[in-house]
Order: sequence, then structure tokens, then C-alpha cells
Amino acid sequence: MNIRKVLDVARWEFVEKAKTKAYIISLVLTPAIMVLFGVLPSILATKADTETKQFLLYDATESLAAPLQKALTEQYKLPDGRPNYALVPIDTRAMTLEQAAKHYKPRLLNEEFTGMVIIPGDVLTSRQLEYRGTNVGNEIEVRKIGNEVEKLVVERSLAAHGINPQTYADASRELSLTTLKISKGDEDTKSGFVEVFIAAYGSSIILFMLIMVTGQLLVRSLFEEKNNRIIEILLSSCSPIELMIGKLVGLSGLGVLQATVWLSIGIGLGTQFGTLPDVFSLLPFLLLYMLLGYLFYAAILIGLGSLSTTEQEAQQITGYMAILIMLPVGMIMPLMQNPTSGLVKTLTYIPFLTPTIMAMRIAVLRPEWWEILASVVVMVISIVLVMFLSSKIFRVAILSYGKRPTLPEIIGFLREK
Amino acid sequence: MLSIERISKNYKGGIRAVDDLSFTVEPGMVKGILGPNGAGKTTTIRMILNIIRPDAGQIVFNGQPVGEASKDFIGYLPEERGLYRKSTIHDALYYFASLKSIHGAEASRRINNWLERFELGGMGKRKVEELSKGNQQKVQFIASVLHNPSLLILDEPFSGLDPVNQLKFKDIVLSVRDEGKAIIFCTHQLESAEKICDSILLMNKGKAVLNGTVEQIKRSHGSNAIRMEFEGDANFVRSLPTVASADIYQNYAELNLVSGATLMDLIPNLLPHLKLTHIGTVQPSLLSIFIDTVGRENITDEFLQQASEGKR
Repeated sequence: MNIRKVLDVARWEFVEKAKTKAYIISLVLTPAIMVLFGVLPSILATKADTETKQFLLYDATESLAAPLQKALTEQYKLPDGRPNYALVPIDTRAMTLEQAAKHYKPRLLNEEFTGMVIIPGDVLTSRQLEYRGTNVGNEIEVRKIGNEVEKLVVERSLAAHGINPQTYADASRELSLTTLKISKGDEDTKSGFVEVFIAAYGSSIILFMLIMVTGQLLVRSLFEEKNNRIIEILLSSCSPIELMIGKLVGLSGLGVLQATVWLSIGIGLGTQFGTLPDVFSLLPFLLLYMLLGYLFYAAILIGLGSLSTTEQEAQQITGYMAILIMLPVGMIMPLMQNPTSGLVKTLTYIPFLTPTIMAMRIAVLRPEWWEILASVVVMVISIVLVMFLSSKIFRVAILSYGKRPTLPEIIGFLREK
Repeated sequence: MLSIERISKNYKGGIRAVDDLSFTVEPGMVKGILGPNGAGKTTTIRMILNIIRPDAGQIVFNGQPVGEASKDFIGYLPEERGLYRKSTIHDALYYFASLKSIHGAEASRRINNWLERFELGGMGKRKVEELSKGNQQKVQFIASVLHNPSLLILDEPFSGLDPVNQLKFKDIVLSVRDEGKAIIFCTHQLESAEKICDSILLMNKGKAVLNGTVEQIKRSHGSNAIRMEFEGDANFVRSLPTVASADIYQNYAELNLVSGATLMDLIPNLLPHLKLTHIGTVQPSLLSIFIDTVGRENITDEFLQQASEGKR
């Protein structure tokens, strides 16, 4: 095999595919969409106000306005120190609720007031609270005020029964739960659901996206080369094996670039906008299995892709692959509950499932070192085997035009000298 | 330089694509491989290119059995052609050059020289899809000669070209030959092949039907051929006792006489029925030799039509 030619093919595949719109879009757009749907709403929702918001307060009990304002002022301040929320009490003796609603309606509509909070006189027994505003969707703000009212109401109720509110507060404090994962090392590490979830879901989704995007690029370009007979020029210049391995190397380059960009964005955002669970210790394993899985699936795609005779067929092939990759994600819950069951251990060694299942298992409960080694060996053997079979199909299929070969014909390809 | 020694290739289903074929190609010569679709031309080419291997026999190139190493010294222009449409001309050509082990500044220099030669100078940065079909064909040809191959294989290089570009291509092919390269020229246009090829191999059903220089083939088949131009219906000619075979067209015909018969025996039989405008002995065309050798019943009408394209 001429390594120089392999690298020439790899370089071409990498550079040309990296320039395609589909790749650039997926590189930038996929994380952008994830950010948009995942992070943006919470950023928007928690964005600090710059002006004090005015709420009307119709307090029929006539006793809650002052303590409520006090509690709100203590809790919510603007960045410059002024209170975030100001209550404007309505004189309940001068106006009925209906009169007040009518009187203030224009000033609510022109947003002089954000909304109107109505505390009924029998709030202690009815436990009802009402909010009227042009924007009833700002759930978070309404809830803040509501919570403060609730605290006051609870205090009043307790006092009515002769209980010290502080006693109640102490008694009803939440328990905090810490889970420790016991491992062979000296230090037991904290492990949480989030970690496992991110490790397992994250790695399968990244693998899935990589195969979808770069796999599709690969299959489509193979189809193009076959369709316009460029393949004959290529094969008159290098061997099918050189061409295939070159394509795999170039494709892996695209995958690594994509995964790096996505992971950097993910980790960057994670540290910027919240606490990132400790997935760093898992990262080398996740990357290893991702790479193995990627090579495995890419080798299958290159063999199957060379068989396709229409663009739709080429698309379908990547679709089926993607389903296989996502299959283990459905097993995450049973797997987390019982990571050492015989079934899970068996599934680990099915090469289609190995990368995702091992990613999950390592996150949940680190398997014995020999299991990790065995699974890597299984993957490497599978990759070599699949590449061998794919190259056999590839050699013959890329030169057969017209109708799609039947299964017996494909088996015939494998026997071809 | 290239020696094909008794090669055979079978495909599944018992199809014998190439059957005990032998021929040689020498530097400075254009070897035409002619024949209808399915004659085994493409299979033969793929074996020379080491894309597929013969089941029997061997192919020797520059004294070595053909293999991966030979690929850097052979250039190939396939019949149905395409290029990377979205890439620039320079990038696509550079890729093909690099696969033939020509890299860096040398590759770029050659690309620019060849683009100049085809009046495409300065177009390197353009995308392939912006080119006209004829110009794309030029770029495809350039891809096959960039590495200065000692053997150049052209499969139907003139198809789809307008007459002006056909002439230009023909001149460039011949100038490449005059540089001492060996050229294999595959076509089913027998008439146009006659003008370019120094030697031809006529194939049918995987076998060599005729092999040799055009002169040799014509001499061995040509003693009794008559060409006549006329007005009227000439179909009766077939039944004349002096005529062995006849290819009759609208207002001209090519006849082969039975051995011993001459032009003078024929003319008195024609004059009462036809208004002859021209008649004389000629060397037969490759097509009529091919038809005589293979038998008219073994040749499709489609091939006859394609074969006589570019006749005049």
C-alpha cells in the first residue's frame, strides 16, 4: 500500500468536504440550535431587570402589604441596589375590587404597572391568590411574589395555632442527599444522575450526529464519484484499498474536528452558565469509544455506500445506521439500575452497541479493566473485519453501474479475487 | 512496451468478456481498439489499468507484469466522464496529479501549462461546473496527461465534441504520440479511427477479429472492393453473380466482387438500371471489413449507425 496516495486521498476528502455547506452548517448550526433551545430561554428568563417593576396590590386583609413589601425588598434587588419590585397598595375602603380593576385598567395596559396582585380577605382559609396582568406568562415573577405571600400566610396560620414560625422552619428543612460511588481507588467519588446522563446521552448523540453528517457526506460523494465515473480515474491511479482507507482517514479527520468543536462549545457553555458535572475523568474513555464506534460505522457505510445506485438509497443507508446507534440509548434506565446484569454484559460485546453501552457503563460503575480491554479488542477486531469485508464489496461495487446488486451478488463480490 | 499475452476474463453467469486476447502497443504509435458495445473493450482497458485482473494470461508493461506501480505511468480518460463539479479546476486537477505522484509546485506548473495549451489559461480558480461541456472534456483530458504517462488510454475521446474541438483534440493526441508516447484509442467510430490509428485491433464478443496496421488489414481484404455512386435503386446489385457482398446506402454503395471478377465484368450489368455518377476500385472501409469478417447478422443496427458517425 502506498501511504502517500492514502494521504492524498485523505487530504482531498478532508479539505473538499470541510468546504461543503452541509458540513459548515452542521459544525456551527448544530451547537447553535442546542444553545438556542437549551440555554437561551433560561438566560433570557434570568436576565436582571434594570428598572423597578410596579405591581398594584389589592390587599383585602389590609395587613399584608407592609410585610410583603419588606420581604420582597429584602430578597430581590436591582443591580444598583434599588428594590426590584415595588407594591402600590390600593385603598380597599375607597374602591371595591371591580372598581379598582376598572380604574387601573388603562394604566395596566400601557404597562405603567406590570400587574395587579389580589389577596382576598379570607386568604388564611380560602388559600386563594389572584394575579391580573397583560402578561400572565411571566410565571417566574408572579411565582416570586406568590411565594412571599404564601410564606406570610403560613406564618399567620401557624401563629393562629400558637406555633413559632421559626420552629416550623427548622422542622421542615429539607434533607440533602449525597451519593458516593465506591471504586477501587482510595477516594470514593461523588456521582450523580446528571453525570451518567450526560456521559451516556452525550456520547451517543455526538456519535449519532457525526455519523449522520459525515457519513452522509461520505456516501453522497461516493455516489457522485460512481455516478460520473470519476471512480475509474481514481482507480487507474491508486488501489481500491488505498482509496477506501484514504476516505476513512479523511472522514475521521472531519469527525474529530466536528467533535472537538462541539465539545469545546459544550464545555465552554457548561462552565460559563452553570456547574459542569465532573465528566472530565470519563472523557478519555468516552473519546476512545466514540472513535472506535465512528471507525466501525464509517467502515460499514463505505461498503454499503458503494452499493447504492441512487441518491435516495445513499440517504437511507445512513438513516439505518443512525437508528442502530441510538438503539442503546433506550436501555439507559434499566442499565443504570443494574449495570452488572448478564444481559448488559452480553450486549456490551455486540460491536454495534459496544461504544454506547460502554460509555454508559463506565459512567455508572467503572467495569473491570479486563472488560474495558476486551471490549476494545472486540471493537478493533470488528473494525478490521468490517473494513476487510467493505473493501471486498467496495472493489467490485464501485465499478458496477446500473441496477442495485442482489444479496447473492453481494456475496459473490466477497468471493471475487 | 505493452504486451497483452493471451488474457481471458469471465464474469458471473458464464459471460466471457475477454477471450484469449493478445496484442502489443509500441511507443509513438496509436493503437485503436474498435468494436461494438459488449465487445470487451472496457474490460480489456480495466485489466491494463490493473483495476481488475485477468483470469488467465498476463499483461506486461515496460518489462514488468502490470501492477499498482504501473499506474503512475499510465493515463486514462474514461468514456463516460465526470469531474468534481463543486471543486475548482486547479484543485481537481491537483488531486488527480497527486494520485499519480506529482505534487507541489511541479503539479501546479504542469496544470497551468496544459490549461494554456487548451486555451483555458487563467481559469484554474473557476469551478468545474462553470465550464461548458467541451471545456470540461478538455480538463478531463488534462487530468489524464498531467503526469506525463508513457501509455495513454483514451476511451471515446471525441464523443460529444463539436467538429472544431474534435480537430483540436485530434492534433493534441497526435502531438502526444509524436512525443514518443504509446496511445490506446478506444472507439466504436470505425471511420474516425482510421484517420488516427497506426494500428488497430477489432474486437467482437471478447475476441480479436482483426489485428494489424490499417494498411495490412485493408490489403488483405481489399483486392476486390468497388465503390460506386449512383442515382436509382441499387438493391438488385446483391443478386448479381459477380457480387460477393454489398453495403448499399442511399446513393452510394460498397461492393465486394467474387474472386476473379473485375470492375469491367460488373459495369455492363449496372448501366441499364442505374445512372452511375462515379465508380472505381477502392480499399474497403474498416466497417465493411468488419461486417464481412463478423457477418452482418451478428451486428446490431445501432452499432452500424454509431460506427459510421464522423464518416464525412
